[in-house]
Amino acid sequence: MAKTIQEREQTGEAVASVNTRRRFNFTPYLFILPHLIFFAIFVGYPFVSGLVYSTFQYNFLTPENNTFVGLNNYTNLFNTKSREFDLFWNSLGNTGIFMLYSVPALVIIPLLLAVLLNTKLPGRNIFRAIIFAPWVLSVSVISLLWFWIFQSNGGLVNVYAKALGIFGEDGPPRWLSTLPAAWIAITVATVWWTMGFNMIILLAALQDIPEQLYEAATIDGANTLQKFFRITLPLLQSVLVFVITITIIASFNLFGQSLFMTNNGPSRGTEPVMYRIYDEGFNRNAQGSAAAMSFVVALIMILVSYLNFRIFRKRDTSY
Amino acid sequence: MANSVQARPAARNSAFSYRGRTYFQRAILYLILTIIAIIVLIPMVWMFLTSIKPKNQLFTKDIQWWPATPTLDNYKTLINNPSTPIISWFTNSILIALIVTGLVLAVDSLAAYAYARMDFFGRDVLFKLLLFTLFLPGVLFLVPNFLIVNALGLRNNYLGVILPALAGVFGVFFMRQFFETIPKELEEAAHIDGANTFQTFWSIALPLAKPALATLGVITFLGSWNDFLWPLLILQDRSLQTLPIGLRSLQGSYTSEYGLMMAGAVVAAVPVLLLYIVLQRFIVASVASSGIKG
Amino acid sequence: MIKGDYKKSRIGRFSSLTLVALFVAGLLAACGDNTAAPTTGATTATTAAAVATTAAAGATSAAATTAATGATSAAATTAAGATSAAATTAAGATSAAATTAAGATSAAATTAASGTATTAAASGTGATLTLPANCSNVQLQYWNGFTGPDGPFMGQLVDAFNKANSGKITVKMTSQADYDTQLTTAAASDTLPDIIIVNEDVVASFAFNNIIRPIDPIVQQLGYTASDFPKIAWDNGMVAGKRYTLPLSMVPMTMYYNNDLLKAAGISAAPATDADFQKAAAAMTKGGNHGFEITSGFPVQQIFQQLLHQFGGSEFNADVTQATWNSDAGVKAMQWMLDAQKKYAEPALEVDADLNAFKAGSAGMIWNGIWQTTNVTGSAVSFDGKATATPQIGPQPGTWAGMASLGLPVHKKGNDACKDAAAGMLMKYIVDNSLTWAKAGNVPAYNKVRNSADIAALHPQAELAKAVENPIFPPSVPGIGDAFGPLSDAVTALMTGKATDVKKALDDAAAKSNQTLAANKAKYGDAPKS
Repeated sequence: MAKTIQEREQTGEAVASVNTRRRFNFTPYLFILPHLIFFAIFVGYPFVSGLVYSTFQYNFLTPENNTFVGLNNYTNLFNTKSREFDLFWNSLGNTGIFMLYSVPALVIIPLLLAVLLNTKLPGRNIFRAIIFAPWVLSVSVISLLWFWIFQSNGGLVNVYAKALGIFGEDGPPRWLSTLPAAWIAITVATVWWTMGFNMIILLAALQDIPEQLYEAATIDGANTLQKFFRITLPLLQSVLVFVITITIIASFNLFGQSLFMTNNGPSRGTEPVMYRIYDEGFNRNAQGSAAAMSFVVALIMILVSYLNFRIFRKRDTSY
Repeated sequence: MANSVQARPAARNSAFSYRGRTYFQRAILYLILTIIAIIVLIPMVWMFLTSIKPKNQLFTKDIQWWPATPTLDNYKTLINNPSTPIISWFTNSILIALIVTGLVLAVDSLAAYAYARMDFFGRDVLFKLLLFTLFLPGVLFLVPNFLIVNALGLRNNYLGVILPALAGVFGVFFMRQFFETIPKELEEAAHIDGANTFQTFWSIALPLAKPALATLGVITFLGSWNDFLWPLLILQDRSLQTLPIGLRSLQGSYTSEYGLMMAGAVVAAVPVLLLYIVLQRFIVASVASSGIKG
Repeated sequence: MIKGDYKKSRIGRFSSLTLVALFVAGLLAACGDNTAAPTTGATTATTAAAVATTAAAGATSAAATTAATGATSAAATTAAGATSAAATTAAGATSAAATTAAGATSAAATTAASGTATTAAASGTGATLTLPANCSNVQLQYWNGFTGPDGPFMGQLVDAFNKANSGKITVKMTSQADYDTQLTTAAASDTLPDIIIVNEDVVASFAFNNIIRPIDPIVQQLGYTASDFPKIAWDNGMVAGKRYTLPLSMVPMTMYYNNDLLKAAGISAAPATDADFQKAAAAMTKGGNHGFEITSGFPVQQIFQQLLHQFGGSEFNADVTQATWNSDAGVKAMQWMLDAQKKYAEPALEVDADLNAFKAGSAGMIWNGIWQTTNVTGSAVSFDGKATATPQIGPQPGTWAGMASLGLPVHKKGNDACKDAAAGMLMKYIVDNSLTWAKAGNVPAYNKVRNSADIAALHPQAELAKAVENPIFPPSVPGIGDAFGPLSDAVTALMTGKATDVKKALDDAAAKSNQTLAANKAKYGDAPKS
């Protein structure tokens, strides 16, 4: 974060002066080559071949029947009368809803935890380890675990909620078979599973904030909240953008939790777009349609990321 | 080494700093942390207790935390059943995650160093291209990559899981950010002493990047460790599969074998948790000093 | 996003070059995939030829115990009375058979000829299928999705088969989770095993997607005919006039009841009619208990299908172009479920919640698949849990059931005659000995086993043996599972209260399903193309 453009330009010039001694330098290419090879094979080529597939009625099990259909797979996604229209936009909307639930929770909760744990309290490492621990479990395990905790009969949540009368007369909602309760269940499971990861990153950033700033603020009579909003948050800005971005990407990839907890239900109410594309590709064997969906999703994703950067990085030009 | 990365404030502070707090405030802080820790731990405790419950005590009208007759049957079934090779799944997961992590660190730090420190034709375009793909959803590559891995004959092979993981751009992006924070002077001095670019990278930049490497290592390892969909599509033989897929098959096609599944989860989680607890001081410290700067 | 000091012309040239190169590569690959077609066309021919070889060998060993290879060609030639082409193929007993058929232009003629040979041999000598003499130590891969407690029962059968054929055939059984995905991806990489279990709803999809292949000659050779199985089960394996699978076992909808609660309510026998059911459910609904519990997840759609048929409806019209569950029968069926839910059950239960309530002892009756038997009866519960047939609610009998069949997967590189013969033997062994398998919680499809005294002693198989004679099955058309999707969504929406207008919900679901049926028809055509 500390670098300004000026500094970077200076360093850039310095590097240039080292390297321009030779006419053409192969060394940089040798450095980037190993990564570039894999990138070309598993990112570049699939990107292009995916574009090609998206213009075919493509089924990798019966390649002899593949036929060129032009933009048909794309227009289907915008044709309200097509089979794919409802399925696709429903799932995309669901992924959007999940992001609205999970991204704020996965930024705010880890941030608060990081602030709490950014101390020299004896035993802090144990707390950190505990909060990080769920992340080592597989998605299949955490989903079954939380399915069980949220189930209507004998699930921990409902048994204690009923005992404490939290949900009043009507009793607790059906966490796994009604909306929006199902989203809450999925979000809670996801937050529990992954919050330790974001916390560790934020904790690292917190530890780089110089103590003198807080001391000065204390002398100026600032209280704890003021210090948090005036010092901590502004100095965390760039790390927060980083955390928000990777959380958005991770949330966009929602797949296992909804599949295993709610079976994407009720009535496809929690079916994420990732599952829709997987289903088109590997259950319906319509890989052309799956590819077209992927590209529409990619476009939207790029737009979201761009807006994210525009919103959060307005004044920050060092990137 | 007195540089901007290593020289950190001696004391760690925040709005909730330890020093200068009263006992009362400290007690409150402990209380809050303990409550949070208990909330986080409850599901894991529940997981363990479920794994030692006999089948007819899994479902009761009232919550029964400790089973009336605890049993290790689920563990015995799990270990003794040759069609659920949980040890193989565990070693596969560890092996794949370790290889992916090692290779990602090597490949990405090399590339990142070039993007951060060298001037070459096409650098900025290439890097922009990489950055662009960072925001593409992974599902975009699902079908095409499956066909490529298939065509390369890497399906049902560890390599089919490992190699595509090396194409990721996150690591390159992450390491480049770090290399840019290292002061130039050290490398220039090495150059003047006659070190070539690789030697400079190897003996100056890389040692300085240890914290960042550790962070990227943890992220990569756990990413690979938890990956579900891709290994499901690639690994066919039961003995080659990884834990997330293997554990799925402890459930019946129609029936849910909760006890067995939870026993599997415990077996899978305990070694990694122990490893984490042993290494966690190092991991947190490394992440802390890696200076993730967005 | 990034502030760099690059020169614009550079990017333009560089990136466009890269993109063009990648695009060309992508195009080439796509075209390559398209032109790779002919290989699959030959597969069927290969299979048929291979089977002809085994069939002939079988005939030989049945007739006399002379040296097999020599006699094989003789048998084939005489039986078919065929051209020299057919004789050559059949005589080239070893792996040559496969290569010849695959390479030849006269492949079609060969297939036809050897097909006749098989039929003749089978009906002439009394059907047996044995391993061709030149086969030794055949390794057979057998896949199924039996990852639950049912797996070990199938394992027993496989072990017994291996023992009976020790030194000749070794079967390795693999039970996979996410089974259909595993088969699809294995088909894409041509690494399918030698014999697989296929469920009733994917037979046609698997046939049209080159996952399984026709096995008419083998089934004929094994001696099974339509009279050996319930008609619906037998017909389920037929796709576009060819046989793809052999029925093994059926898993009908079953009623589980808490006999303690039932007795406490003063009722002595499990209800078999709607009136008795209502009476029992009402009597047991008290004191926090629910006389009947019904989920809004799996298998609620199957319960609906069962009632739909009982009220005289069906899911699709005869040629499977229209969904017809929005009929009066459909509305009646759905209304019955909603009423029962309202009167006796808890609302909007998630999947398995009916079971869990039952296991906890607070549910009087539930309807679920027979596969839950070991889970909710006997020592698995702390009360007297019983299983029996579901009561008949509507005017007509009807029970939903799933079915596991055996099929042989496609191998694009060609099939191995030895493995096909061994797979046929395994098929026969499993079907003939499906009593062992039935103990895992299913009803054998094979009449001879199902009607045996041994099954009569198994419960609830004995009670359900009658119900599976005319089970409710999906039509054998590709992609039918997707056409059921909207129905499942609608039933769930109604059961969870998300939708309240029964007729409208079923109408909307039917309209959506019709789109899928039309799309499937356009995609797959009328018959598998290979």
